[in-house]
This record gives sequence, structure tokens and C-alpha cells, in this order.
Amino acid sequence: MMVSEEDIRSIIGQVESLKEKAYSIDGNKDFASQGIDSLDMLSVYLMIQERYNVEIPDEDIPKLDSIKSIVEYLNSRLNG
Amino acid sequence: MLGIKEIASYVPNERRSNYELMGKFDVGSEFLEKKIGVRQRAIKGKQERASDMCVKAFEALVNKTDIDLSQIDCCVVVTQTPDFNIPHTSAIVHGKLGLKENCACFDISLGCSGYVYGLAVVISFMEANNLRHGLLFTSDPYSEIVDENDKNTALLFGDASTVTYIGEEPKFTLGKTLFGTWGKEFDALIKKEKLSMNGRSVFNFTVLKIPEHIKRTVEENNLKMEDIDLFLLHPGSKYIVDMIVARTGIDKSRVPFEMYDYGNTVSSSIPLMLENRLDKNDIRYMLLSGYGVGLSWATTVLRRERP
Repeated sequence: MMVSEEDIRSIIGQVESLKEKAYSIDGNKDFASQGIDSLDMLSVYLMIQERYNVEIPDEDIPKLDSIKSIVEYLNSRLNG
Repeated sequence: MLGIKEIASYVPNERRSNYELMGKFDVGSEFLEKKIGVRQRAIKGKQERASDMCVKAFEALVNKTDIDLSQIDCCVVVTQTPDFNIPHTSAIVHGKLGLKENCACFDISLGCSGYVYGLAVVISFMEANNLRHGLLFTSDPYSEIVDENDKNTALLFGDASTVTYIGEEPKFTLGKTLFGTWGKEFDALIKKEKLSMNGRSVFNFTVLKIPEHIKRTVEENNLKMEDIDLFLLHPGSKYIVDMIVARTGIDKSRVPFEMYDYGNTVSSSIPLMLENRLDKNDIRYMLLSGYGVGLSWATTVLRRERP
């Protein structure tokens, strides 16, 4: 299974407070610099875990700071 | 049948503003209001201990209802910030209130699930032992243990205490109570030198466990979600309550959120919300759900018996 940037935007769009931002955020830039706070990211990480049935350990979280990094991480975990 | 006759509380007057900490923790007002849900925190006096706060709550109870101290035969304190590790805080409260000798006293060491546990434990214990006049206190002065430089906890917790008078001819009785524990994550919220919290663990546990637990508790009480007039959910944070609401599909208007001006008061948060609703006669069923340190959770349904 290959995860796309579109898949991650779709998940982000399901977070109530990020609905309107999901398709306008820059996939290459980090979330924090685009006004997305740590609590919203907790929702995103949890929904990714549920969607892909993958456990993301706490130590991997700092690396997952942009859509691009999440896509690469998931593709590595799911297909690696 | 025993149940809740009255509730009173003590919230210290002193407040510390979270707005003054926005620069220190690099957060904005929207984060404080819409995500954390705390504008200012209630802070106790430096010399005040958990037992002193219980006594203040009791003084408020005396002003609300007739209560005969010589009849109190059960005194229980829910706390994880006791005056001392030894002895139990309920004995100290017993002494300060001058309760009679043949009065059962014990503490319950639980945090945010503590009030729901406390109701279930105390009512069962009293019924089994033919006790008739109980005081269930909650008192968690977290300002003693919060690290003021820790963003995860410094913006969240406030001090408060409550007392619930349990006896016959109650306003509300307790339905079936369901409990849960996730001991594998005991260190998600822990006090060593100071309190520390793994916010992600607590968030994931709450969002994954509590919505289903609420639905199951309603079913186990032979009710439907629409029968519940109010859902009093422990305000871990505004964001957590919003997530539970979204995942259960409960109408927001049935989920009060009231910690903006005093903070997350741990075991006192649910009775603080309940206190002002005991006399709202249009409320027949209320669900109470507490979850947090342990990780521990407990949910029950209250049923109105009289106005």
C-alpha cells in the first residue's frame, strides 16, 4: 500500500479545527510554522494510527512534522 | 436507599492568569480558550493543605443544608495530594471537624476518576455496613506538585475541594458503575519530584477508551443515549472533551464545560459541575465520567429521586 499526500490531507481534513486548512497547508513545510498546534497534531497522529493500523512510537513523533515527512514515514513503515 | 443529598465546594479566591504565560510557553489566546479551556487557575494559600480545603468545603455544606455532625458515620477523602503519606487525610479531617469516634474513615487514592469511584465505593460500603450519614470529600491541591516550567501541566491544573453528603432520601441515586484501568501506562501521568504528563498517551487513551465506555455504561443502565439529560465529563482539557463529544455523537448542549476560570481540579471537577445541577428539576438522568491518572476511568449514571 502506498500512502499519498492526498491521503494525509484527507485525514487532516477530518480534524474539526483543521477542516478548512487541510488543502491549503504546504506539504513541505512543518505544521507548527503554519499555525497547527500540538493538540491538533495529536488527533492527526491518532487518526493515522487508526487508519493504517500502525503504532507510532513517541520517539518518532518529532520526525513527523510535515505532510511530506508523514508520507515518507508511513511508506517506509508499511512497505519497508 | 442511599444517594446524593447535597454537594458543596471550596474554590480558592486567588487566581493565576494563563494569559500571562502565553509568551513563556509560546501559545496564543485561542489555544488557551479553545484547546486547553483554562483562562486562569485557582490557587490555594501556601499553608493550606488538602485537609484544610476539605474543611472549607464542609463549611460551605453547613451553610446549604441541615447537617448534624454527631450523626456522621463515614468520612472518605479522595486525594493523591494528601497532607502526609501517613496518616490518611480523612483522619485529619475527622479530627478537624470533631466527628464522633464510631465513624469510618479512609482515603481513596485516585485522580480524575476518583469521584465516580468514590460514589460507588462509599455508597456500597455504607449500605453493606448500615451506615447512614456519609461525607465524601475530593481535594487535590495540584499547585503543590505542578512544575511551573512544564507547558504540559502548568496551564492546566487548579486547586479546589468538594464534599458530597450521602444519606437517605437523596436527590440522586447511583446506577450501575463501570470501571477500567490501563496499568501498562501508569507513568503517563506521574509525580516523582514534580508532576509530569505524557500528553499524547493521556489523549490517545481518553479518545480511544472513553466514548465506547460511556455508551456501554448507558446500555448497562438500560437507558438510551437520548435518555441522558446531561453528560458531566471530566474536563481533562477542552480539546479532550470536544473529541469525546465528536466520537460519541452527543449533542454539545448536553455537555457542560466549566473550568475556564479555575482549571482542571482533578477529582473535584465532576462534583463542581454537579453541585449547581442538583436542584434543576428538569434533569432526570446525568452521566458522570472520570478518566485520567492510572490510567483509570469510571462512568456511572445518576437518577433523580426527588426535587
